[in-house]
Amino acid sequence: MNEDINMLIERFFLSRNYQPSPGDRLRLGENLILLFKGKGERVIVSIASEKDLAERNSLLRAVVKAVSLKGRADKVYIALPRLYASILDSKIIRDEALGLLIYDERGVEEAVPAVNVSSKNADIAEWIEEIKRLRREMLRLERKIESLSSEIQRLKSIKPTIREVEVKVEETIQEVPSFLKDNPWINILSQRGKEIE
Amino acid sequence: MSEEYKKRYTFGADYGTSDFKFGPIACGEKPEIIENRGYFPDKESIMYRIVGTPKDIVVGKEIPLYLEAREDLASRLVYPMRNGIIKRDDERAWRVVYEITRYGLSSFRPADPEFDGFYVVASLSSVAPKYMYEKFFDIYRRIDEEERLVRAATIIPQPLSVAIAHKVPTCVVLESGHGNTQVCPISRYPIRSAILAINRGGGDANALTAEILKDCGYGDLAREEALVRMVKENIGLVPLDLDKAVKVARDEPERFRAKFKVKGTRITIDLAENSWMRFLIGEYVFNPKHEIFQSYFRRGMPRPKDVKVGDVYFRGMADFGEAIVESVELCPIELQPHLYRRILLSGGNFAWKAPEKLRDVAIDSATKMERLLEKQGISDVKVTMIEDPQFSVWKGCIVYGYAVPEDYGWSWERMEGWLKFRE
Repeated sequence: MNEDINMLIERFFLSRNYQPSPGDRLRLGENLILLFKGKGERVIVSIASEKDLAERNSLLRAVVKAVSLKGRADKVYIALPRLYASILDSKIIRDEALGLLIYDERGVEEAVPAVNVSSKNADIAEWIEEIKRLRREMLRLERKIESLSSEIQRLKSIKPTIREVEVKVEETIQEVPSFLKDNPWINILSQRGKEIE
Repeated sequence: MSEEYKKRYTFGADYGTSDFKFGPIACGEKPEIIENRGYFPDKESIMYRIVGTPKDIVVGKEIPLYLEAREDLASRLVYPMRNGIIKRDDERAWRVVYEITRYGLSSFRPADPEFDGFYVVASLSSVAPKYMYEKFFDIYRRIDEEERLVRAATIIPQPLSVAIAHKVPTCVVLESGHGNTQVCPISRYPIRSAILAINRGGGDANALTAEILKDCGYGDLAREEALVRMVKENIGLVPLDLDKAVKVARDEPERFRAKFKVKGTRITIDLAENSWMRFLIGEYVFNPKHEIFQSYFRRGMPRPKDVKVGDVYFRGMADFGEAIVESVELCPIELQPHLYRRILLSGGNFAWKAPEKLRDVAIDSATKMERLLEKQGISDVKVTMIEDPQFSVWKGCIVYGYAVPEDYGWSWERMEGWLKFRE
């Protein structure tokens, strides 16, 4: 069965343009680790079989191990039998930036996609740069507001001439769904409240 | 708030028996859809203690991730809208309604900084009692307090939504679902005093199909509800005239032979010389009073009973023709011919096949209804099966919210208008 699972997972990644890495199988404690490369990133899959999960606390241990692998690749997945996956809170997996693969004899399914951890770090650097840029922009706008408010003060002193302009209200919805078009109920319902008075 | 704002942020919510269809006007022709159910995970489970406490209740597309392979699954998976009515004290069902409503509204929260809540139009069964309206408004008020997502709300009966979506201002809507059937005359307003409820739906046709399977030697399969429903949908036929259809089918068993292979299994159901029984299934939906059904009642098949649910009386055995006449006759005489002229059939219990080669004796639901009304002496009728039954209630909600003026306040007497939770 273990070989079957490995093959299913390998097929899953091959279909997504990933290739097994050299030295692609390791064993970490009870769990088998598979390595894949593709799309410019490295992926680790930590597989826990039903046999591995027989002991109390073993599911927790499998999750902890998967978390510990995070520094070693761009993405880390934990693969669990469907029965065990159903009792795992997917939020924990998401919070840890792990991915979750569910498998049974019929195939493998990606329940939670993994987050690319290295690109996440790059994202943080980008965000810091963006915050700095926004701060500069804010200062510039503050100065602009100051100059505009002094301009307003100046304009207030001049008496304006008011001219009424008829504004045509555009339809709120650009493309009207078919059930609203030529529907006699629109007219009927829009009279609600008026007909009673 | 302006009329323009209301039009932009009208939100439809159709609480169907199986699915919750929801979304703002911006969805276009199709709303979002999730199953109308909630899952209460077993928080005492050892695995949850190990990996962390899950939510109290799970709704929406995440449910399959939480399901446990346990015997008590049925009691933990709650479908709140069975038969269109939720009991006042059914706390778990109300909890599910709250969660799916919040889920629906939150998933469409716009990024627009001017957004200050939706104008929500909810649609409920026409037999939903007044306390359900109160409870729904409480839910919307609570969600608005917590998340400022509901500027105003209103509730309309589902048959009215169907009539609105189909652009018919005067008609009778016959809505038949799994558990019951509602007859609702409409003339610019739903005529509430003439609404009639029938305690019979697709579930009763399933019960008869199970009896037929037992009689034909498939007693072991008759216990599987999903399979029975599949058999019903695939072999059931609506007869033009039951006695004549049974006679013709007995004379020509090969032409009417009902053989059904269950996809992906080795099971094949063949009614062989009893294939005439397929007509009983369709007839029972429309008219359970035919004497042929007496033998099934005598053998223990439950007879659809007159019951009271909440404040509403549901008839058991009324045929659909009688029910429409009885309901229409509660309306003003001048209006009655106009109501008979447009009858809309809605709901899965009217989806019957009428194969071309059996057309001499097997008919569709609309023709059957016309025949039943003919028997009642009503001839100038036009019965239509509604198109797009899945989303028509949601569409009706959107039109209603779009058109009803923003300043038309809710009235408990008229049971319409906008209920606002803040100034």
